[in-house]
Amino acid sequence: MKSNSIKGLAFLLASASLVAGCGKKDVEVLPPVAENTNYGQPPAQTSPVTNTIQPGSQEDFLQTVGQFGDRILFDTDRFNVDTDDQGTLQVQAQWLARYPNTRITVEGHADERGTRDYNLALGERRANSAKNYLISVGVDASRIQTVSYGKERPQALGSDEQSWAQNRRAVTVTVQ
Amino acid sequence: MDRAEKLGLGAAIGGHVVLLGAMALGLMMSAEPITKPESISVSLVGDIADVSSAPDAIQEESAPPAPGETEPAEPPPSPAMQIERPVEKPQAKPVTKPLVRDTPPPAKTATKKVVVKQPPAKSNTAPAKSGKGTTPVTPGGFSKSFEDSMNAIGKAPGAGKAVGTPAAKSAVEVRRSVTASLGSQIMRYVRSCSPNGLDVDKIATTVTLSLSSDGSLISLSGISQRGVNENNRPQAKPTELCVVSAIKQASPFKGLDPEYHDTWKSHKMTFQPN
Amino acid sequence: MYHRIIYFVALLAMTSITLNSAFAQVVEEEVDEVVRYDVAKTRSIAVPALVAPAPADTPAGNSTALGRQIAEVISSDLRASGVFETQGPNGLRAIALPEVTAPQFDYWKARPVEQLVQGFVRVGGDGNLTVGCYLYDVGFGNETTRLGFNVPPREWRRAAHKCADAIYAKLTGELPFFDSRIAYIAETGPKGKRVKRLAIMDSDGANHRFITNGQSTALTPRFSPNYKSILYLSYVDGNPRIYVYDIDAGRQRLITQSRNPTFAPRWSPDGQTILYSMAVSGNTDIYKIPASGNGTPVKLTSSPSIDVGGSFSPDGRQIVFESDRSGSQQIYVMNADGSNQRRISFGQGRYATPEWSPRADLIAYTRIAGDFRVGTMRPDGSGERLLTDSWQDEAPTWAPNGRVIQFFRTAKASGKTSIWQVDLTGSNERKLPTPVDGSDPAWGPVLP
Repeated sequence: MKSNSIKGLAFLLASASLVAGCGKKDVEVLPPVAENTNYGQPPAQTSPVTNTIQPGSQEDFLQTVGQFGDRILFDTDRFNVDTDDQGTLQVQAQWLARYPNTRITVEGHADERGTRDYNLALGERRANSAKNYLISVGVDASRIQTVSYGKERPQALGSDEQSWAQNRRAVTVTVQ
Repeated sequence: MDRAEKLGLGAAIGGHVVLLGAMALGLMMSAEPITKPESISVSLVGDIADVSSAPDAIQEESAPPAPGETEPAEPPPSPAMQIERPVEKPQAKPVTKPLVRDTPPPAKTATKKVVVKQPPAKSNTAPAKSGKGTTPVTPGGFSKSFEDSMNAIGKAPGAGKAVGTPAAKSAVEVRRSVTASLGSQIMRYVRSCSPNGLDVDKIATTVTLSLSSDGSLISLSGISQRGVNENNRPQAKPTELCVVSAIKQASPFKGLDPEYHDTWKSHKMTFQPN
Repeated sequence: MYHRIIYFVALLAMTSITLNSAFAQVVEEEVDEVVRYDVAKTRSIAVPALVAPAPADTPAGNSTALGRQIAEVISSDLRASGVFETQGPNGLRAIALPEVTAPQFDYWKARPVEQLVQGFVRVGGDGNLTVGCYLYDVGFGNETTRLGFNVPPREWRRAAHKCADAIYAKLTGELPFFDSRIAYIAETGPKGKRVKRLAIMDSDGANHRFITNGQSTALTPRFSPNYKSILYLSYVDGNPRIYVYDIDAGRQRLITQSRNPTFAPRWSPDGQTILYSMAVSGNTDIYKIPASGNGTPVKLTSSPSIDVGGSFSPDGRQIVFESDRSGSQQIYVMNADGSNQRRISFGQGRYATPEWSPRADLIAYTRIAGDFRVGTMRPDGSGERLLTDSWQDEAPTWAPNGRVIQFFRTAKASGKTSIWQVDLTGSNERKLPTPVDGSDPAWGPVLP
């Protein structure tokens, strides 16, 4: 499991680096969503090959913000940043302040209990809410991109309130 | 009041009395109280076993029923046809109360039968109607002939028109029985060609049949529809064509009493899906 | 003094008129009794194999085999519509050529069957097929309609659909719809990692073709009215972008160079305008742009809420769209220039994905009240009718005749999707056969 997450992250970095290139370059493969819901958990430290996490990397980011610290959650049809969300985003902002050359993409998502087009719009709202808050606490706007996936990329796979609550999210991903 | 006023009042009252009296009489003659139309379930299977011997007026379709003519998928006794009539409610305005009670029993009798052939349909209504006359009715006299009618219905399902007191029938009674008779013969054709769709049950197609005394169709006229709206407009014309086609296929019609041909030689009917 | 005479006489007159009309009405009802009848659920129709008078081989097979296959497609179309109960071609005897124009009515009447389709297939000197089909009313014993087509052999299915369309239209009064194509999204893979590909097929599922390879997610396709291109949303460059895909050329272009996310693309009925939704700084509004790509976008909505989607009325003068400006998703109508925006949905629940019927009389939508159900309402919002009742049915679009509605159904938990159709009356709900799962179905117009 741990080597999978390292591989996953490496893949993520590789493909994220493709995206970070000039805007017109086509990307054939979207960053794959991790199979397990431990996406965002800090990787284990005792890797035999790479014992240290590179500063400013996605790994470093995830380790710093902590489990689920890379995302904020929303109520049904809502896109507001509440006080809990503010706390989460402030930690992200602090890390971003330490690595001023790092750029991020904020992904906006919605749960499956909505229609497709509206959910794309809602995901975009959520991503922008997170972005706007980060800007308000000092992150430069030019460092932040947003993308909405609507209901296309669920993380929790059940059809129940618990799963839906986890899927209504804005996730911050570093762009390397 | 002065004289002129008294004159006016008297004229008005007198006029009212005359008018109301005439209308009451007129009611007696037409034998229909003012009531809302109520559907009667008349269960008819539409299975006509007789082979018509009438001349081939319009087209040759008068064959014995093929298996498909009765609806295999549906239970026969269900109310396949309903004739809505402006009668029946016992709690109707009591202008002709005895007359009101007259009509429900024949309908009830009809629903008990599984197969109703043409002669019984006629005889069901004929004895009932025979209780009414064109002469002013006294309640006592009417009730008696009403009982006769009831007995007659119970006894003679296949007797034909001779059952019951042979008093003259009113035009309305004749028309109603003709509608029942024609309706059951036409219905099995119209059911299968009438298109389905949203609000088709609102389309009422009216047509006037011109009939010869042997029951064959001479012509159709006065074709009109009401109840066509935005939802069912595509079905309006096919429904009309279906009704016309069904009437033509059902002709020549059986069980029409030639004695009253003058009444039914031009017969207006309206068809409406459920 | 005389005024009192006049008063009483007038009273008498009014009373008598009232009574008179009441009685007259009774008299009217007496003679105009209404015969009510139950309409049969289906009409029986026999479709024997079409006759090939001079059998010849074609690139699509021998014409005798084609005669049978054409009859099979006609029969399937008619049966799938829910209006007909079909017989044949299997189980029906072969038809001799002279019968095609002179049916043996007694034989068919005795089966029994009410309607009869007969026809022929000829191969011409130029290699094209000539297909003729005739519709007969068995009970009445006469011909209802006939039509013929010249098609290249590979398009034999279209000749069959055209026959079925003519029969369907004649007997139901509705417009045709069988000879048309459907664009949709083919789905495979687990719920957390769906692969979504743009695909197209005939209205009966035949001639299926994948357009994209699934490496990037494709969503919400729409055929152009002339069938030459497909509007759809793709994440091929990492962001939601709208492309116009030229089917013959196999190439696509962006409809707008804007870097903002764009989605929910729609065609105008004349194919000259494209409607789309674009989010600027998180706020989504509806825009329109010339389909040619030359021209500036026009912003149609400007509320701080989510305004998304949009469907033109058939005359192109109005647009129905969804907006949450009231606090929840609801349906609004505006003029094609964005003016006079007004809400039309006021029922229980939220209302989404409105689509204007090609017949102009109705708007289809998804109603969300717990479950997602497909329904229709009039363009003024009245007459709401729900047609389906499942956990999640959404995104209805119309068959070109405005009588059949197509949508996709998501299964709870598994998230598997499938394409379904339902008749406007709520009957004949049926699943469309697709090679894999499917969603976002959109129906193109009847082919000329």
